[in-house]
Amino acid sequence: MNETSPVETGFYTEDMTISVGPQHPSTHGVLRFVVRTDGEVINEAIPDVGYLHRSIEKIGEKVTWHGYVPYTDRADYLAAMFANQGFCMAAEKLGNVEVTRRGEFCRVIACELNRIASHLISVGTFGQDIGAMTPFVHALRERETINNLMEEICGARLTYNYIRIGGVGYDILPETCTRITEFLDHFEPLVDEYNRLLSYNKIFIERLAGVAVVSKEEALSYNLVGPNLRASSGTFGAIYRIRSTRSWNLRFPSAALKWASSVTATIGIG
Amino acid sequence: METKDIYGRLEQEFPGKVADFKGDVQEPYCKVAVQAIVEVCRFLRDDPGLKFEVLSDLTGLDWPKEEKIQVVYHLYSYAQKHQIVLKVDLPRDNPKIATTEGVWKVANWFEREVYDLFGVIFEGHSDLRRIMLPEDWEGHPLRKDYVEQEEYDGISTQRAPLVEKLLR
Repeated sequence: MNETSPVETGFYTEDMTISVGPQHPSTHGVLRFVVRTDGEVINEAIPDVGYLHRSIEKIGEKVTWHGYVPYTDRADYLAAMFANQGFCMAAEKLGNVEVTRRGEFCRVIACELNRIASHLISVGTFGQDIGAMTPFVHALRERETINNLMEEICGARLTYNYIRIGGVGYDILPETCTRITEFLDHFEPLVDEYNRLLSYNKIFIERLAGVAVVSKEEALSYNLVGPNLRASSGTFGAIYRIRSTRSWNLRFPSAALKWASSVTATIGIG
Repeated sequence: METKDIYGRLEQEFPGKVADFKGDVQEPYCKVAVQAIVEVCRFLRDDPGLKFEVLSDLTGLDWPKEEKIQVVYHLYSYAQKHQIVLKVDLPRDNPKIATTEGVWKVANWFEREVYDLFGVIFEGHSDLRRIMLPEDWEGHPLRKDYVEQEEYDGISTQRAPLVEKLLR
């Protein structure tokens, strides 16, 4: 660790081992790195995960199947609906439970709203992390409307506990449906606005294009999913569509899928 | 390709090393002999007809009554859009299996997790440390007979039930 190494100026400096996180603002409580630095160059970074590990698999041994659903909310608080969905689908698979058609549609509507909310946070904070403060506020403004809609649907704004094994907790009322449609009409043109603010922003592109490129082979070998796989795998990304490549009844995202298969495996019936 | 045909290919390629195919479940699986796991995985990944480029998940199962621990591999192919599950039985008192890190890089962290929570030793793994729990934690929590250590770093892990606390 303490070997001396030359830097460009010809000076000899000592490697320094520093702990970054988990309380560092950019790792906000979930991740710690042990980094070996030489001046401003990071030579090695060893990640230390597990700060958010609550061992909910162990808790699952002690609660009933229905009682487990609220725990799945906490698996990813920005996409709680998908965790609900993943767990319930695994349970339905094991018990051969059929979901009603209406229940299925309620699930998809709730999940897709959750997806928009989650993507808004992701896009907004992405901008914020590289120094663009404004898009974050724009994104949160719209997310607030979705939170209101979610509150109407299931009574909660973040940890929904909405999906049950075999269906959903509550029906979506006609008035809520109207408000959802109104929101979607309002939201659709805003996608262009976000694109103009962020995606096609010169600074944004210059800071990110071509940085940390992952090849297709590497992406698959590391089992990357979602945007990471699509972004990293070039032309392969175009043919990759998780919701159509795997046969679920309706369209479901990769996070839920991963979750579902790991739950079925943990309970013991593959 | 149908899972049955995939199993057929495996049986042909590795006679006696794969067995117990079960196809009438939601996620069909077969059992693989512990010595053969790496070659089976490499064959599944590299064969042009099978092309399992992705290890979706790798977990463990504890069966105290049968005295065994199972390691479960969930494989998926984006190219062929098919999947299969492999299961390997290990003795419960000394679970050891070769690492598949050389086949899929993601196995590194998955195997660390199974080591951490079930105590399975993956031989040849480049960095077999606990991943979720602190390095000096005792025991492997997902084993059915796991007993939590009473204190960790001088902090008690036991909590009085809430009702008792309120009555006091």
